[in-house]
Amino acid sequence: MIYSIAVRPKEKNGSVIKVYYLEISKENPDIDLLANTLFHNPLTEELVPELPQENITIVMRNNAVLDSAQKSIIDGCRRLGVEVEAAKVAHCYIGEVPASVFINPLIHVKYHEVPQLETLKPRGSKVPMEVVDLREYDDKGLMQMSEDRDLSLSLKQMRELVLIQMDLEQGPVSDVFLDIFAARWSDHCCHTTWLSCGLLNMLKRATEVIANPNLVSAYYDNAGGWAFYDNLVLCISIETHNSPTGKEPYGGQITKLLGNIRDIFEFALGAKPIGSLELTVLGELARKKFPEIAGFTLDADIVARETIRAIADAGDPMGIPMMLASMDSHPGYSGKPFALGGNVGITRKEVAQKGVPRIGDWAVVLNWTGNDGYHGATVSSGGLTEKTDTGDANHVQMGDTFPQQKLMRARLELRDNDCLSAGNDFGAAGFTSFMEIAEATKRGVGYAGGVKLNFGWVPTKCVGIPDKIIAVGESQERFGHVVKPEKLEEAMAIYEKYELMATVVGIFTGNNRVQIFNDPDATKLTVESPLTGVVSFDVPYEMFDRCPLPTAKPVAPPTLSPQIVFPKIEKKNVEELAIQVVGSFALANQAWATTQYDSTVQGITKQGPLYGKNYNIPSSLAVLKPVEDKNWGVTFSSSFAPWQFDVDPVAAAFNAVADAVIKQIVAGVSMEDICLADNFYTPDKDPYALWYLCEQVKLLAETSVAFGAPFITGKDSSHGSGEYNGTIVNVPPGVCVSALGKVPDFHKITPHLWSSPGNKLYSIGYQTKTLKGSILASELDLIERDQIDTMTIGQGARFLKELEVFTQAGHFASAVPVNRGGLIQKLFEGVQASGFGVKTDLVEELFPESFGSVLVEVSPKISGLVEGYFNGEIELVGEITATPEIAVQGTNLDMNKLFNAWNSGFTRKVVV
Amino acid sequence: MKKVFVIYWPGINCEEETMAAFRAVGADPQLVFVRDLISGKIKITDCDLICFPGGFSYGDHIDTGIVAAVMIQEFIQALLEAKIPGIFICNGFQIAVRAGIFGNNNLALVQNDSGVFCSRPAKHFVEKSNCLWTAGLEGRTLKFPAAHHAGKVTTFGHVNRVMRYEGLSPNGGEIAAVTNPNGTLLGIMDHPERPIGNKDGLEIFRNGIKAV
Repeated sequence: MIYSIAVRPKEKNGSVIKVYYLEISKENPDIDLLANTLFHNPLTEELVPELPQENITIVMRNNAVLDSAQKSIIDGCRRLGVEVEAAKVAHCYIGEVPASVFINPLIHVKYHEVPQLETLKPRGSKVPMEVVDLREYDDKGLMQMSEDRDLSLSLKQMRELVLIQMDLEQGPVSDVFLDIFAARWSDHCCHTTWLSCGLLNMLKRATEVIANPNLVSAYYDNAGGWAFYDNLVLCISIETHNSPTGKEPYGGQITKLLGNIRDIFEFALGAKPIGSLELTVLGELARKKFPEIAGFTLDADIVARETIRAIADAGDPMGIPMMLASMDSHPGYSGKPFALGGNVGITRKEVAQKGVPRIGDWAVVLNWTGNDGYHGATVSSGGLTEKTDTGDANHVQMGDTFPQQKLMRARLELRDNDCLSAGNDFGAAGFTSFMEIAEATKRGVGYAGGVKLNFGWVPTKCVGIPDKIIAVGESQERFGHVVKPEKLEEAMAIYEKYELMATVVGIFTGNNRVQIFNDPDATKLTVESPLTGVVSFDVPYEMFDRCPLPTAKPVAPPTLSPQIVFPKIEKKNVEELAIQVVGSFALANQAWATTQYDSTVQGITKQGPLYGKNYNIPSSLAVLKPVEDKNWGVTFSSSFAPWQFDVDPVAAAFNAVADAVIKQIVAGVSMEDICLADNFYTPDKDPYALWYLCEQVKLLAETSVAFGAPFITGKDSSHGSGEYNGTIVNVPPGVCVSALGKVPDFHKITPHLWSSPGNKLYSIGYQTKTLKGSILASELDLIERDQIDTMTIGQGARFLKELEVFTQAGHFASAVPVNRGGLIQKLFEGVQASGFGVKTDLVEELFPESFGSVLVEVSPKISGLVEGYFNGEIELVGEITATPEIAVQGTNLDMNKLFNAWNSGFTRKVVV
Repeated sequence: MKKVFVIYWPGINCEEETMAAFRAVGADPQLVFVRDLISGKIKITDCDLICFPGGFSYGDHIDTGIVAAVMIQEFIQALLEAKIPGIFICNGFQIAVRAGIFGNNNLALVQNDSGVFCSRPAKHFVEKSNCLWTAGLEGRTLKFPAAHHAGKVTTFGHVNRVMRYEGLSPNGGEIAAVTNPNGTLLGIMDHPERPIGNKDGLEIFRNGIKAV
């Protein structure tokens, strides 16, 4: 029977009523006890005996999506002696639903009268396994099958599956077979675009050439490993979750954030996450370039609000400090936002290599499987079309923080008690991630591979979940652990201690085959035991290697003939242009969002994500001190400038590397202690995108070698296009570059904050003269494909070396990179952060964006030394003054106007 | 060394830095799982000091701290009768309030005025009180960060104040910390344990150890 308890706040006089629905079998449960003890704070809330009958909207999660509060409700009620079987929390809005509340039909169900609910449990009906004889289909039929089943496989891939079916000699193949191959051969998992062009090898080779002694692991685990001090190892993972975020931003962003964290705590044999990165680029806020796509995607302000809500709701409970956070806007991301997140972790050297299963190890799955999260990998690999965008909504699951937060702790205890041979999360593609664990032969570690799984033992959220969904459904909170048989009891005790559900579902066989059967009645499983019940998959690993690669050839773009003429910048229009820059969405005050993310949990934060006397200026470098009794510092920076990529994707890629690295160097990090992560996001419907991608990768490889900073992890998303009623929306071909470093003593980091009036400010490094790709150009709508001038790779490497030496001598009182918004943005931020002012004689030099240069504060006593050292690459910007003003050639800018523009540029577009 | 029980409910996430703070002032902190209290494996009064740390116990589901409070409810009377000094931080404060540790029907922690989570530096002016955790710190302004969503102290009767916000309040309220009538317990929304080694925060922890 379904019982309900309705509660409303006394203060707000009941415009929103919270309704707890409880499914209880036992008769006469003590609902009053629950209402008065658990569900109701008598000081601030009152019980609502009966819900209004009209003019109401009741919203709750639909039955397919479990309510994340259910487990806690069940636990609390049980403690009070009432056994609850299922629970949901609804909100009942009287009158209009507030504009700030986003009801997503993909997740929520909505009633306008009090519903008569029959059950709160996810319902399912047994769907029998389907079998298909691929040999009976011609090319048209194969492609129709790929489309109808959301496989996102090409004709070449479908044809290869026909051959595999014939080679297997097992008769028709199952739907499980089709879905597993679709997941394994998806661009998301197999990186077919990159493989076909040899791009991944390009970066890997560069990393090998650099041969940095800090390298622990690169490009073969969930994250890259980088030596810290003593026997400690840092790990870094940066990943995007672009596909569903435009349509289901709350769930999509939670999934992104939790996915990044899982990559860290499932790194090697387990690591502790210590810092998060958040970066989301939305469409349409900056320009209304594609009005015709309205209706196909959510409005960008909703995506923004839901993103912030998701990152706070999921990130804060995880207990990992937010290192850096920002939001940006560009019309190219109207279809699919750039939803990027990252995480840094720490572990010990002896457990920092990916684990290897042994024959006879148990395959243990954590948590349960639902029918949400189906086709995550294949849909994220397909272009966002009207079909995938408006069709099956279950391709991404709502990530649930609570079980993952518990597992994050359990994982370290399992590691420290040597319980596991290996482990992995079930990110995109579900159990196929488990299969990857068993595929150890490719790493040359001596295990022949092979796993046998009984899907009849897999705990499910509802009855009748087909094996194909169990196989590839994402189910974010699921994990696969390889438990040593002699440690099974100990491991199970640890899972229980953290209140996690762990179930043995298979065994590692060493027979080099993936074998899946469904026999709920099976009582025994050994390496030799036969497959019983319904056998859906029995395939040797080498079949997965037969993925045909695409044959697309890069097509160079035509010669450019830029038309844009930029306005002359003079003293008389500096203030007007400065207001446009500091008030732009990307550079305005985003503290309203950033302060919603816990940045000080763990007690290890030394710098970031904000700084300044009002704690509202974004840091360019995060600094953590992760070891209790040591001053060792972890440094983290990131760079992505969408307008630059719009104008010159290749030059912008170099700028991204230079910017990420110089943030570290000018803080005092040695180049040899810096490693990099790449995250490419490129369109699939731009005919020149592949050419840009190849040029970018080549340039990144060359730059990393020249700088001596290797790329140790990276991800790519090559489907950044959407088509809506014939309108194609492409993301600019771009790559976000992040840098991870270390310093022996965090106290020696150069601060951002200006220290003293009278000190001089210099811009050091390559000074660009153009506004191409700048924030100002975007605000003036002067963006077109062109060439952006940058320093050469050689110039950059030499300059960074010189800067490294000078910085480590401690000559700079403060330093910040000059990048987006140019010098004017950094001067404004410097004034806001310090409460001091600045006077400058520069005018037109204030607006170009010289990525790879820095604004440094120097005592007048050593200004001669600085000017001599950086001769030819230095420009005097001005002098710090005592009062918070910006004087340009003797005239003060109106600080009130600048402040108001900066303070409202973000919030007026996002906050309702 | 003084034994400190730092209580762990599922969802707590500040236990490590809290234990680091106790270690820094010479105590012996032990992480105690609430399931071990419920099973009787550990007795809640077998310590010199007790601490409920911050986090999101039971995911903050239903209401902040309430599920954890229900879990530990049967042990509260014994804890109060033993007069064991305690510090209750952030979610630990919310749990303590819902469990009646600071009295019944006199105090609630409600959503921040902003309606959203707030993570930022905060200043805390120590008022004159009988709280042993702030003995000798009266009149000083202590700096440590805030990080909470529902931290506005709302009173419905007499409350013994210990600290008030100076400058910007992260939750819109005035009161930053409270104590019980005999001054042995400290309830505080912000985080004196952050960052590890914070000198202002350690003075509070040191006072607790000194008192026992």
